[in-house]
Amino acid sequence: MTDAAYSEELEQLAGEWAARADRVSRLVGTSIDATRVPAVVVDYR
Amino acid sequence: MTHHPEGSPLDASIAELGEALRRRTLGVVELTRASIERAERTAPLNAFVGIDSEASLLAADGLQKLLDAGHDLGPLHGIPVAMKDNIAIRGRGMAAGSRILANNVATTDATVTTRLKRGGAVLVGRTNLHEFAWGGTTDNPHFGRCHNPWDRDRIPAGSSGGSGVAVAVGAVPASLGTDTGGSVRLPASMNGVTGIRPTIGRVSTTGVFPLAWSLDTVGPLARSSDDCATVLQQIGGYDPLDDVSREAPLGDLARDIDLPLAGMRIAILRDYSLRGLQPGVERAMRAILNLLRDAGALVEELTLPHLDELVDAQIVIDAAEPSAVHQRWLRERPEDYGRDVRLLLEAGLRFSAVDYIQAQRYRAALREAMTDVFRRVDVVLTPTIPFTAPRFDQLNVPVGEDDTDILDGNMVFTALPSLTGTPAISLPIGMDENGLPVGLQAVAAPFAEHVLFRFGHALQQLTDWHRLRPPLDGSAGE
Repeated sequence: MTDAAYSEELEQLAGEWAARADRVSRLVGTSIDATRVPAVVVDYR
Repeated sequence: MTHHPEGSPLDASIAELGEALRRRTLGVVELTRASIERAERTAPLNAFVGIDSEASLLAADGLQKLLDAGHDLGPLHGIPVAMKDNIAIRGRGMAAGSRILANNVATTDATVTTRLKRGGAVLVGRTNLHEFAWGGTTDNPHFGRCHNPWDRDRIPAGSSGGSGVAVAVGAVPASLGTDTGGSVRLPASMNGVTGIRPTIGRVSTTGVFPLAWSLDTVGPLARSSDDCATVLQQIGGYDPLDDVSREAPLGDLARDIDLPLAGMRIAILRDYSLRGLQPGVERAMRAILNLLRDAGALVEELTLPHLDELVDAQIVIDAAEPSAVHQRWLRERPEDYGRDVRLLLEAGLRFSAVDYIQAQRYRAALREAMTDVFRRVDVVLTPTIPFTAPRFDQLNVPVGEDDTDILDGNMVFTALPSLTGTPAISLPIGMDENGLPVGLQAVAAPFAEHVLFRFGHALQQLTDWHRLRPPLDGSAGE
């Protein structure tokens, strides 16, 4: 695979993932109480 | 489908093997040798990156002497187990499927390795995986492609593909895998075996090469739910060396397995559990739901909000964390990664801190919603994956009128327990029209693995799917 083809594929994947991150951020921004739900890693202790 | 020639000890359950070893109708060395021979006979499937014949036969001899002297180390005494090659075994190679660690030799045992050795397991070999466990095909550019034993042109799933295949062909009664976004459950499903992802914090990840710290778990694959319980009993429990480890008592994981399905409260999730499935997967799911109802289980439909963003959040976390793990190597030696994994790692570097935090907040909200679900039911059911094993050359899988991206489809159901940290078991529940295994995912409340083993035991009393074996002569798919 050429460098150009790799770079193109990387940009495409990064773009798709940016859209995914944006969907999550929009949901969290509208549907989750920002004061109530912190960003905690799962911890059952 | 086929059953292997009678007389091979490798067709027996762990409990049956243990009984034979204690009655002296089978020796530990004999069993270990049979395991090694089966692994070598099925070598074209490339399930193993290393078969440790000498070390395991030596260990087997010592374990037989212990047994003869009356020192019984428990249910795994003398049982061959295969280890995914990202789990440290002192003195043996641990490449994590990579070129970067190709010459790495583990200097200490992982905690799960120590516990298996203490329990008398014979560690016969190390299994193939997707490079650094970051991917679901086990099409490994450095150690070779691992093949699905039901059709060698198809993927065995991953990332613990070798661990799934090793159990499916009977090279070992059990193996260990790691599961971040589905890497135990997916190969269990696609190879027709049983596999469990435990609750986060239930099994130590000390000595395991990380993929994504906040999601990583270690879990067993075996033929049956009962065998998985036996292995999890040995490897589970608090580890002071692991910050995520939890001091929750393990208890007897088989304590409820004789309870009936009747009265068990089971949920499927509306617009999710049965949505977007290949026909063969949907048929198997509906047949199992009918079977459960007939057995007296109380099956209801519940709603869980915001599941459309589940895979999105999983990918943000599941991709950002490995890119942090690999940041230095990505800078210094990117050419040493396989192309697909390098792409995933470099794309993962692009997420912002805010992206990551919002995904973790989604996760916290989802966990809260799941907690409510488990106030009402004992288990939640989905397929493990919406389709059966794709061919190696497939990037998308046709499901109904749409094509599903394989990465997306891999995670659509497995992400639910991964993100919420809940335990989930994959159980074989049928075969599709191409003779490929279908898996059911059952999810329980945190630290309720015993509920999954109750469910798995009951289901496997009513069905025989976990007893089916692929042909050993490699004829499948030809």
